[in-house]
Amino acid sequence: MTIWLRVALKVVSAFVLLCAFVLITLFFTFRSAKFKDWLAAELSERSGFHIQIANLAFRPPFHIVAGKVQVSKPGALVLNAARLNITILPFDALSNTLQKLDVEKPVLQLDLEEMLKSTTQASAAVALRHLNVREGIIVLKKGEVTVFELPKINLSADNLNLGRQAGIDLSADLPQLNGELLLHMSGEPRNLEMEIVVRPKHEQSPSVRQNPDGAANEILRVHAALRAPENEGAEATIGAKFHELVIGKAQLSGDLASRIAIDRAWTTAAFSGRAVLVDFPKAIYPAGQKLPTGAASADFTGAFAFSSKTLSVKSVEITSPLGAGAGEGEIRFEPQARIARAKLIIREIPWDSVKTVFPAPLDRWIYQGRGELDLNVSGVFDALDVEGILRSAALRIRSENMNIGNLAVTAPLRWKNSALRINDAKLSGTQVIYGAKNQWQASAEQLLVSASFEVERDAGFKISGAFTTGGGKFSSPDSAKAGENIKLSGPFEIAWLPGKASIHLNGNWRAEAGEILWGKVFADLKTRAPALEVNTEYLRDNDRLVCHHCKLNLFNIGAIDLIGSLEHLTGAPALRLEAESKNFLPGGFFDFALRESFNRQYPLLDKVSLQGQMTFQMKLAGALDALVAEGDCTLRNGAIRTKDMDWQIGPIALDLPFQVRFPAAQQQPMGSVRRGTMSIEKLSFGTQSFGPVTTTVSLANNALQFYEPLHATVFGGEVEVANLSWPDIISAPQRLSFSGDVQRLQLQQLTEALSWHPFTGTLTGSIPQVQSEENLLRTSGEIQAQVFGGRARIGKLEIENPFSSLPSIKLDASLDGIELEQLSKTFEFGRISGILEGTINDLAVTDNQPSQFSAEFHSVDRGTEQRISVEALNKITVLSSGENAGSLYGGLAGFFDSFRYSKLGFKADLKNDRLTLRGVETRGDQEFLVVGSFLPPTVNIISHTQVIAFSELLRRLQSIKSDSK
Amino acid sequence: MLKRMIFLVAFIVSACVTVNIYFPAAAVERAADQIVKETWGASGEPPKPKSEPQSQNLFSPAGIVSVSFLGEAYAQDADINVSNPAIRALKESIRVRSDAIKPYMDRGNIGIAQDGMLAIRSTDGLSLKERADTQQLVAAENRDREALYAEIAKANNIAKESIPRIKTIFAQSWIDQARPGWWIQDNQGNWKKK
Repeated sequence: MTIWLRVALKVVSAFVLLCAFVLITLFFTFRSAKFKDWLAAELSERSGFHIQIANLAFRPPFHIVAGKVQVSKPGALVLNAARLNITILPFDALSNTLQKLDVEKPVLQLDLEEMLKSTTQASAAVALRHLNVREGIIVLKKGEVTVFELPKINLSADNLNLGRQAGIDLSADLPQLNGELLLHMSGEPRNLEMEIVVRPKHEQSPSVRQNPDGAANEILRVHAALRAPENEGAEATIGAKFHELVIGKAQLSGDLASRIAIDRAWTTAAFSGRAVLVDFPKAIYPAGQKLPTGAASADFTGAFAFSSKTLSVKSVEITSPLGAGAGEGEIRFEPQARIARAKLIIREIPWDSVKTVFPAPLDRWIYQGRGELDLNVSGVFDALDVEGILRSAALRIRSENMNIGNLAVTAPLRWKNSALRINDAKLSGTQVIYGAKNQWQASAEQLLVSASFEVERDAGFKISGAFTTGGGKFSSPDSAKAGENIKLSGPFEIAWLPGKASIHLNGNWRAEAGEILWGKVFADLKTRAPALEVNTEYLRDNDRLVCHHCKLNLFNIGAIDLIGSLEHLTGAPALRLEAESKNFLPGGFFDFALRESFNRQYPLLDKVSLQGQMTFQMKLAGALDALVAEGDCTLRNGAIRTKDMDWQIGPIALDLPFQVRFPAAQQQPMGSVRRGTMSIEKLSFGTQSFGPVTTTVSLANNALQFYEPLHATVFGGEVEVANLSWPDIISAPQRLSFSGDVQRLQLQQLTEALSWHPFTGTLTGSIPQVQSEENLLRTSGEIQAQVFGGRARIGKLEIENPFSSLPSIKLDASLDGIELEQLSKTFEFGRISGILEGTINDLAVTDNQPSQFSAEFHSVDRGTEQRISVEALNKITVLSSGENAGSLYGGLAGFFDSFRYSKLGFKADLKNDRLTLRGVETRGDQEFLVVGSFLPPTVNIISHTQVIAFSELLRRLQSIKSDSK
Repeated sequence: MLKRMIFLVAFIVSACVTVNIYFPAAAVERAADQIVKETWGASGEPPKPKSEPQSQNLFSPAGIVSVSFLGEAYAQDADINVSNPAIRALKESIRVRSDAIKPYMDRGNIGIAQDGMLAIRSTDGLSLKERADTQQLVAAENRDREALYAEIAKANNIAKESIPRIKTIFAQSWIDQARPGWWIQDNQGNWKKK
């Protein structure tokens, strides 16, 4: 160890010992009561205040802790702090600088009277590098009266300089604003001026007053002046400019000018002023970027009562881009700062400007009109209670798909506990239209809505109420489906839950009036009072309407329950529904939707009525024009009958599984076809009735098929219809096919039932196939009738337009071995004996009249007697000539009752109402209808080629008929 | 060579087939005018029955008893036949329906299209019930008119291919006899008031 090293070691040891000695000395010195008292006395003398310190301690290395510090003047407490924690660095002490001062729970009491007294005592120049105040209170007093109290003050400031120049200069860093605060106070207390500047930290400037050109860079500049002449009232003016002053989320720019007049006794301070805020409302509501921004100003007057600590705003007039307003109110600061009452009326709210705060899609609509908002506000500032009413008249709303011509809104509202409630809002709209051109459209001449609305933060919203529409309409893009004059009303509830992109819609709506045209089907709603109950949910992301349960109820038709969904609701809707009904009345539906819609095309519908009760459940899937329906239906006590009870089918019992599709739907793969049963208890036609009839039946892929023959015992014989089927009841309901078999029908009964001229015989035949294609029903096979001792065969039976008002029946027929005796007797045509045979081809009967035929009938000599009576001769003559030949026969042949003939017959062609009549034998230009025999008495009836108008033929037949009577 | 020439000429001559289809245009025009007048001529009045010639008879005893009579044959004049049960029924159906259609034509809702068929021109001022009614009326009327033209063709042995010509001739009659104020569609498809 060198000598230098030893010396250095001694010096360091001595310095450490010296420091330890100093610290130990300070520690014990600060703990001594004498030093504490000395320090309090010294500070009291230097400051002019009486200072008391309960506890004093030194904490190494440089901390001084003072507990329960009281600063007072005689008769008045000025400052009371629970604890002062002072940090002093040795070198800072030389420059009157405190490194750090922490003040806990200080209560600073300022007496106005004392403050306004002149003082000559100079303040010490003290600098504070860090100042922290926690839970401080400033109490402004006047004498014994507390004028004002500011509680819960927490302050953190850096680099405070006090009293360097004339008056008070204070500077402090404001880390929250990333800036610094400069305060300059000058003048005597009764004529005091104060300048406060806050500016960014990097804009360093030695003093407040030395940089007037730097105002543009200042965040805040406040100039306040107080004039308080002795024995007079005080007057203060405050002017402030602020630029991008950040308070919370708001960034404020603007200015404030205010004048305050304080009465002599300092009981009331009346104020007035004007505040201007630029970039409103964006400055205070940054989220409202799309709101129109501009300058907002408020001119205000009011007063502050020191004793009651009540701030009364007598009037405030506001102008802003969001409307103009006026208001008044009262704020009380004890026991807690709160708005006692405030009334604000905002006029001329431009809806189209404020729509950006509306939820989608309301923010995309176009609004023409302005609103008013009357608000009453009360409560503490962090839990305000706002009650008011929103009004708007003559508001017009348009969007791509919607138009409301005139909407009036009255909405009482209340904001409380972070929840907005609108109770019994009234909306009255006219000319309401929804739907774009070339799409489905709905409209209402009048729409009245009464609704209540509730929205809570993070809790979604719910709207419930009731509505009524008048003059409601809807129409499809091609107008083929439409509704008019619909009066719809009922309660509804719309709810939106957060976190779920869906809206619930519940309601129970009734149509009191209205008409619907759905293609060719017309329905008047008034008689059926349809009611629709819905419990649905709209999933916005999927554009899907989920029907949890919907129910359509029509009076005298029944109720249909629906569950499922509608996909692509706003585009091309497609169904995925299950439908069920337990009390569907097909008769009611027929009267409601079908009878009047198709009665001009099918007049029979006006004469028919349906009965029975149906239950069904089915699945509906596909687009509206490509719908597929699959399910089961049951019919009980069904019946079809004419209103005059001319014929009746029923009771019908049906259990039918079905699967049908609209033409645009793809054909479904055919699996195993499910079959049902149909049984008809009785079929009645006039006096005839038969039954029961039972068969299995299926309806799959639009094909309706009956599997067992329909067998009936009727008219004394048997009728059987087999293989009855409709290949496509939706696209081609007129196409059907079946086979028929008739056995020994008694013609007597049949002709009586058909009100024909009665005759005897039997009808037997088989038609292997009857096929209906478009407007033609065609048969194969033939029917034979054993009639008049011979046989008639009917074939090539066709019916044109069988389901129209003008069906036309066509057939070929041949007669063989017909006994003329029976025939003439049956038709009261006199008496003719002999055998007749012949054919009638291309017979067409239209509108119950023969319109064409080609016939050839002649007698056949089979050795039997062939005679013709005078009466028959006369009738043949009348028929062929049009004239009664009674006198002729009476004169020339009055001696005979009948004549022999060798041959009789005729050939006739009917077309276009003209009957061409020829005889059974032609000799030159003579046509023999009757050729006499060789043996007398005999007769010839000779005609020439006759062309007889059909109307004339009818007249002649009528003449014969009347002669017979 | 001569034989070949003769054969060639004979072949060419035999190959020249002339098909001459007769279409009684003038008669159809007269028939159309008559039918349109009968069916739509006057509101609410049934058509006057056309007087049809009656058969005559002549008695001429021959032999012991011989009855002879001579009927007057209809002369096949230039007119076509427009009377048979189907045509009568269709005419009657059209006539009865016309009373229901004419108010809609007066109001301009139904017009006569260029092909002579009825068309719904406008539904302005119509209730849905009236719209349904006009749809049914127009459909039924056009169906009857089509059927009428087909029946006229059939009754007069006019080929099916000529039915459009009948329709065209009738179209002109419907248009010519339309009341002033009714809407008619021109060849360009534009509607004009008569």
